[in-house]
Amino acid sequence: MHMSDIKTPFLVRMELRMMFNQFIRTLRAPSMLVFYGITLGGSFIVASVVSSFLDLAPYFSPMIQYIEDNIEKSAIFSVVGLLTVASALGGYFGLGPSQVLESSDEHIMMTAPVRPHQLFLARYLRRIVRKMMYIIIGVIVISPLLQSAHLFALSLMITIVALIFFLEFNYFVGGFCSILRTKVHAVWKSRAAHLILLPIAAVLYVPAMPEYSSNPIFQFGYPSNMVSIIIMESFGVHSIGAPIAALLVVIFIAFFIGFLALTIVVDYDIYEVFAKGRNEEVEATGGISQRIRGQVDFSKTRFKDPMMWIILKDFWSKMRTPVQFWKYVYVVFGVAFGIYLLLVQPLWMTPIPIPSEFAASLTQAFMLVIVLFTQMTVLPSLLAFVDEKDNIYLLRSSPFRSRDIILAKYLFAVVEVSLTSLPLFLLILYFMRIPGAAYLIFLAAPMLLVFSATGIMVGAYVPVFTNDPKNPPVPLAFSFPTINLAIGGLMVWLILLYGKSLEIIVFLPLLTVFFVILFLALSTRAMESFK
Amino acid sequence: MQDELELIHQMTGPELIRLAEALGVPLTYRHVSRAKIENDLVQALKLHWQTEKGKPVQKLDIPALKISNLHKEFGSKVAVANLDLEVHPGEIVGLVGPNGAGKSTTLRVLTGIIKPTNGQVTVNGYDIRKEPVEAKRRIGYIPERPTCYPSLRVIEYLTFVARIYDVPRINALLRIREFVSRFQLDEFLNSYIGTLSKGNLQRTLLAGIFVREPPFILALDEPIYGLDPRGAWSLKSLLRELRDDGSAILISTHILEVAEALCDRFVIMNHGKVVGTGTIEQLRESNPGATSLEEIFLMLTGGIPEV
Repeated sequence: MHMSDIKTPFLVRMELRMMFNQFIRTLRAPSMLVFYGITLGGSFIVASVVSSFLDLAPYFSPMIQYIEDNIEKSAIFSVVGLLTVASALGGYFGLGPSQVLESSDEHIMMTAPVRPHQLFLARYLRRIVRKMMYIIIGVIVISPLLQSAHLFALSLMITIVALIFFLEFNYFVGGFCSILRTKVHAVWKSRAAHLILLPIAAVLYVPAMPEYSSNPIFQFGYPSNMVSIIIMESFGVHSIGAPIAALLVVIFIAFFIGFLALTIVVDYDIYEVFAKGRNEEVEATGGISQRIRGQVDFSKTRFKDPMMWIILKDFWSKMRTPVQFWKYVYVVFGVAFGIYLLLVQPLWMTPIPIPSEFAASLTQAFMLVIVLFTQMTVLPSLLAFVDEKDNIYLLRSSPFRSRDIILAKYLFAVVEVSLTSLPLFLLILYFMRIPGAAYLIFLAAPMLLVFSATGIMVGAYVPVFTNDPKNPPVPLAFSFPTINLAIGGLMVWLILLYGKSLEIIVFLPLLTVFFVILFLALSTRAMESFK
Repeated sequence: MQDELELIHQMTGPELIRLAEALGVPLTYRHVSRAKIENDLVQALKLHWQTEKGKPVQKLDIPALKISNLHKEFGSKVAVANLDLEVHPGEIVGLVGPNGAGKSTTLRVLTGIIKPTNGQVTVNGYDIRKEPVEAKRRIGYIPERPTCYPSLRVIEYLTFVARIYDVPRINALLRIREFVSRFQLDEFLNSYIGTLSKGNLQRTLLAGIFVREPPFILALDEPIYGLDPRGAWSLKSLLRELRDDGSAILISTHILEVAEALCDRFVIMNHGKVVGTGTIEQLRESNPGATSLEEIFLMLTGGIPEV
C-alpha cells in the first residue's frame, strides 16, 4: 500500500488530536476553566432555578395544540423546505466546502501532497464531532428546562439527531452549489450565469411546496419533509403514526450520500475560493459606501475629545463595509414600516392571534421575547473590540485613557444597537398585542444598556485570554449570551415581583446603572491587562 | 545529514526509544547505559543504510522550477503579467520587487494555492495543475505571514509533516533531531504552536520543511522574517549548503542585503512585470551607474529618490 493511501485516516487522527489538544489546553488554563465552569455551571443553575418556579409543561401542550389548530402541515413542509433553498443560495454565494479551511492551511495543507477531498473529509469529521460535543453540553445545561416542559428525552434526542442530519444535508447542498458556481463561472463569466440558481431553487423547493408535499414519494423521500415529519411525530403535532425510526434511517442515508457525493466533487477549486475569500476579507470595502463618502479628513473635525475621535473612526470604518450602509437603509425603512403598521393597522397584515390558553402567561412570554430579541440585536457591542483585530494593540498603545476607549466603544455600540433594534421592537409591539405591551416594551431600554456593556466587557477580555484578538475563545463568546440571558431573566423576575409597586421605578434603574458601571469598570481593567 | 553518532547523541530518551523501535533494536535490558543504546543504534543504522544503498538517489529535473508565460488576474487587476522564470538545481534565485509587485502571487501560484489565469508552472517536471500531488510532494513553501495550527505541539507538527510527505520513519526521526538542534527548538518541542513567538514559529515552519528529504525545491517568501540574527545566519548558511547539494531555491524578499548576499540570480518585478533579470554583474552592466542591488532595484522600480 502506498503511503498516500493511508493519509486520510492519518489526517482524521490529526484533526481529532488537535481538538483533543485544544480541550487539554482549556483544562490546563485556569482562566478558561473558570470561564467554562461559570458559564456552563451557571447556565445549569439558572435553568434549574427557572424550572423550579416556572413549570413549562402547562404551556407546552397548548402550544402544540395551537400549532396543530393554526398551522397547516403543508405550511410546515414549505417553511422547512425553504431552509434547504436558503442553504443552496448561501452556499452558492458563500464559501461552500472551503469554509472548513483555515489560514494555516494555505501554506501547510494546500501546498502539501494531499488531495483536497482528503483534507475536506478530515476537517468535516472534526467539525461534526465538535458540533456533537457542543450539542451534548448544551442539552445537559438546559436539561432542567426540558424536564420542566416534560419533553421526553427520546423525542428530544430523535429531534436533535434528525435536525443535525438535515442541517448537514443542507450544508452539502450549499457545498454543491458553491462548487457549481466555480464550474459555471469558469466557462460563463457573465452575471447572467447566476440564473442557474433559479432551476436549482425550483428543484429543491418543489418537493416541499404545498401542491406536491402531500405526495408520499416527496413526503418520505425528501430530507426537509422527512425532518418535518420526524419532529412533528416526536412532539405529537399532526401525527399520522409515521415510522420515526425508518425515517431517521432514510434521512441518515440522505446525509451520508450527500457527504460522500460532496467529498467526491471537492477539488482544487476550493483552494481558489478560500484564497479569494481571504483576499476579500482584507479588502472589504463596498462600492456604495465609497461613493457616499470618498475621503474623511479627521484633521478637520471640530471635536477635541479622544472619545469622539474613536467614535468617528469607528463610524467611518464601519461605513466602509458593504453591510453597514444597508443596515442604515434597513433602519430607515424598518422604522417607517413599523410606524405605518402601528398607525394604519392594515387588514392585510394583522397582529398574531393569541390563544386564550396563553392568557395567564402572556406577560412573561412577552418579556422573554424582549430579552431574546434584545440579545439578538446587541451583537455589535461584542464586535466593537473584536472587529479591531490586531489594531486593538495600536489602540491600546495610543495616548488615550482606557476609560475613554471603553466609553467610546460603549456609546457607539449603544447608539448603533438602539438604531438597529428599533424596527424589531416596533414590529413586536404591533404583532404581539398583549395588555400593557406599550409599557413593557420599554424594558428593552435597560436591557440594551446592560447587554451592550456586557458585549463591550466580553470583547475587551478577548486580548486578555488570547493573543489572537480577532477570534474570541469559545467560552468567552458563549458567556456573552449567557450573562445577558441571566440578567434579562433577573429583570423579568423583578418586574413580575414588583411590577405593580412603585419600587420597581427605583430598582430597575439602579440595577441597570449598577451592571453598566460594573461591566465597564471590568472592561477598563481588561484593557489594562492584555496578554 | 549530520554525523549519525552526533545526532543520536543529541536525541532525548523518548527519541532514542522511537528510533530503536523503528530500527528493530530490542530494548530488553533492565538497566542499560545510554552509551550502549547509542552504540547499538549506530550499528543498526549502518546496517540499515547498507540495505538502502541500492535505492536510487533522488535528483531534481532541469529546470527544477519552470514558470512559463504566467499571467494572473484578480478581477480587473493584473497581479502578474506574462512571467517566465526558471530555477535550476544548485542555484538560489531572488525574486525582488516593491510591495504589490506580484511576488507573493507568483509564489502562491507555483505552490498550487491559486490557479494561474494563463500560463504553466512545472515543479520537478510535473505540471502543478495536471499533477498537483506529485508537484507538491517536492516543493517547500514558507509564506510571508507564517501561521500554523495553534493546537498542535511542535513535535506533533514535525512528525505530521514527515508523515504527510512520506518520509520513512527512521529518516524522519533523524531529520527531526537534526533540524530541531539546528533551529534551537529543543525547549519548545512540547510547546503548543499557538504559544510560540513569531521567530520560534518561523523556525518551526522551517524545520517542518527540512524534515522532508533533499534535494529541495523551495519557495520562500521573506524567510528571514522574525528570525533573530543567529537564526537568520543559521538559515542563510543552511540555504547555501542546500544549494551546493543540488537544491533549487526561489526567495522572495524585500531585504536586498540578504538577497545580494545569498542569491545567484535575480528577477526584479514591478507592477506584475519583470523589469530586470540576471546575475548582479549582468544587472550592473545593463544599469550603468548602479553599484549595488539596492541601486539597481531603485533604478528599475521608479528611480533613485533624490535626497
